[in-house]
Amino acid sequence: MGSRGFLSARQPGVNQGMEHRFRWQGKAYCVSLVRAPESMRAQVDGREHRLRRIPAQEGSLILEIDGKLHRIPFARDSDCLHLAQGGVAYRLKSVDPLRATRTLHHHEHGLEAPMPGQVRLVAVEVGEAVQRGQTLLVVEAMKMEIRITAPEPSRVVKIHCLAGDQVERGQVLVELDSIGDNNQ
Amino acid sequence: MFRRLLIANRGEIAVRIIRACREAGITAVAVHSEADRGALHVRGADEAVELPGSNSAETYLNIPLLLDVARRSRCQAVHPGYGFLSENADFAEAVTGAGLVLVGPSAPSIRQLGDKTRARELAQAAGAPVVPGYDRAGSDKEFEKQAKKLGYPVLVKAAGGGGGRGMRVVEAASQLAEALASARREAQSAFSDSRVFLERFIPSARHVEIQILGDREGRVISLFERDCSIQRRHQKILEESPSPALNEDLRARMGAAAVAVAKAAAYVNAGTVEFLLDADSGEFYFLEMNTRLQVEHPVTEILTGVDLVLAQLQLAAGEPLAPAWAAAHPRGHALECRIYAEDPASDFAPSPGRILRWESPQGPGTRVDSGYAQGDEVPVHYDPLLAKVIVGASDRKAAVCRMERALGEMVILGPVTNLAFLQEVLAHPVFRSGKAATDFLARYLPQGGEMKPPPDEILIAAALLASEGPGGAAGIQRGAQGDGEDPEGPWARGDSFRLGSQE
Repeated sequence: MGSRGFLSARQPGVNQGMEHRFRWQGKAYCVSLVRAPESMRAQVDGREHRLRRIPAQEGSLILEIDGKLHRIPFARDSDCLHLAQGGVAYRLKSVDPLRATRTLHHHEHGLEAPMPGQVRLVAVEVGEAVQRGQTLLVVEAMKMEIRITAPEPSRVVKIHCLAGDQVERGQVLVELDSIGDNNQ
Repeated sequence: MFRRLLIANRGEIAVRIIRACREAGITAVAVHSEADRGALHVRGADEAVELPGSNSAETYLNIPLLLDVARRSRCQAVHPGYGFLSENADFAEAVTGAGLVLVGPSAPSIRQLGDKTRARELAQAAGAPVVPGYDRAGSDKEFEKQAKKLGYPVLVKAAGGGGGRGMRVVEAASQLAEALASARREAQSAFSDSRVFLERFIPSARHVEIQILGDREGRVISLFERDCSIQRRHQKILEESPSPALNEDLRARMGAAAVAVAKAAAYVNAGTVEFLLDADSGEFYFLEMNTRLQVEHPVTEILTGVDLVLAQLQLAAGEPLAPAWAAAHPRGHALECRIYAEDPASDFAPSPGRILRWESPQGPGTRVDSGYAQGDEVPVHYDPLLAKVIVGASDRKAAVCRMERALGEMVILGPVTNLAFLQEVLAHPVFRSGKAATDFLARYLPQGGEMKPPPDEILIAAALLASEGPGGAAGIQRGAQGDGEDPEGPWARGDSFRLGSQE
């Protein structure tokens, strides 16, 4: 780790430091927690905060951060931390830095089901060229029709579902290969 | 009054009706699908009967099965709630035919008004103006011709029902065919009726509706308006009363038009007459009459103090309009926000799943009508409405502040909700000014609003939780020999960050 010793160099007297990485909406965030002899500190993108934790009921944290109190209800599921504040919910994905490269590997050109539902219509065929915004599939869930559209001019490489199929959220439905619009 | 009532619905409205039953001393019999086993409305009912299956068609829309359950559970009346069979004339007929009372209007009223094209004719005959449109059957070619005549954009609407299902705004002739096909499919699936019709699209109108009550003696009263201009995909998400767009004169004229329409349909029980209002000119047009209790009925309840579900039960039992209802007058301002399990940033795609944590707002003037609680699973099969938050206060400004406070207290973790989005609506200067029309969201918050990144306190809280969480946290301890092989990670052992222990 090239950054080893970073915290102790910046923070004399600190005996331990711990770094946590999260992803939210594709963006990475890094938080360092530092326990100094007298108090607790956190560093978020270079911003330093003093914190104190106040006992709270199960399922919520009460933190005094730079003198201001925050009550933060939370929950965990298999791969996410859910936290709420002021009527806004945040879903943060913990990123294990040792495995970060794998976590970041996406289906670059696959279009996923936005929710569990039933495929009502497959509007394209393999090999077909599609325009940006063109309807590829229609998925119905909770009595609404959601159109899955092409994000850019592409060719349909593979279709992974048939009309009538039940699909899960995140399931790849169609694979596209983008066609550059550099046709002279 | 009935002693036993079957509630042919689910979610928050079933819970609402159960509460009314309890207050009126009526035994509430709930039905539920397999997916709704253990749902909040089942836990709250006096008796519950499971309907085999999970999709709506085999359960909440299954007329023979529901009637069979009603008979076997010795119910005298059936409350259909909203959605599902609430505006189905065949159901109303079947209920009456089985010797039961439907808590709602008669089958002929439902049939006449539920058919949106016949309702337009009836309203015109009753003297209420309607939106220019084309409401006859025809080929796609004919629709194309008529759309051109009306002028784009046009609205494709389902004849068989409302709620935004089977409705499409069409900007240009080239999109008409796909819109017709897709609207027909959705209408068929939602209402078992694929007929659609055209209306001229009025982009910047307000949606104002009048709540009415009618009794068997033919008397009809208005309980004033609800302004439902804040809509996404023609689905209301925020409603209020009084409407900031009405003055006393307009309120009286719209109320009178609504009462005339209801009388023309020999309407009994609670109903709502919807109008489009051009706020600049003061012109209003009849849209449709909803022959059921509305989702947003609590707005009127808060404003007038009239318990609409109880009123429905009394009217269905043959009681006349109560003098107190006719004497009701608006007090202060009422506001409702609908909390949906949907993701505004993903084009409002539904977001079902388990509710990991739920906290309802409380406090003065604050009401929550909810269909779910912590630990419940939001099924994929039904409408994603989770709850409604309704507030009442002395005036509009105070009501908006109260709603902001209430939504700020609300916690729903697990499914993605529109809570943050609703707060953006409340904070928007155009909404604040009372000038928002039905194009408000598309115009001012088109991408589902702006997602604010997590503030530092959220990230710090997450780091604290990750450092002590179950299943090993993702973190690197400086100086520790984390080799990546230890399945629990280097943090499973340590507890050096349990901060509370020091305080």
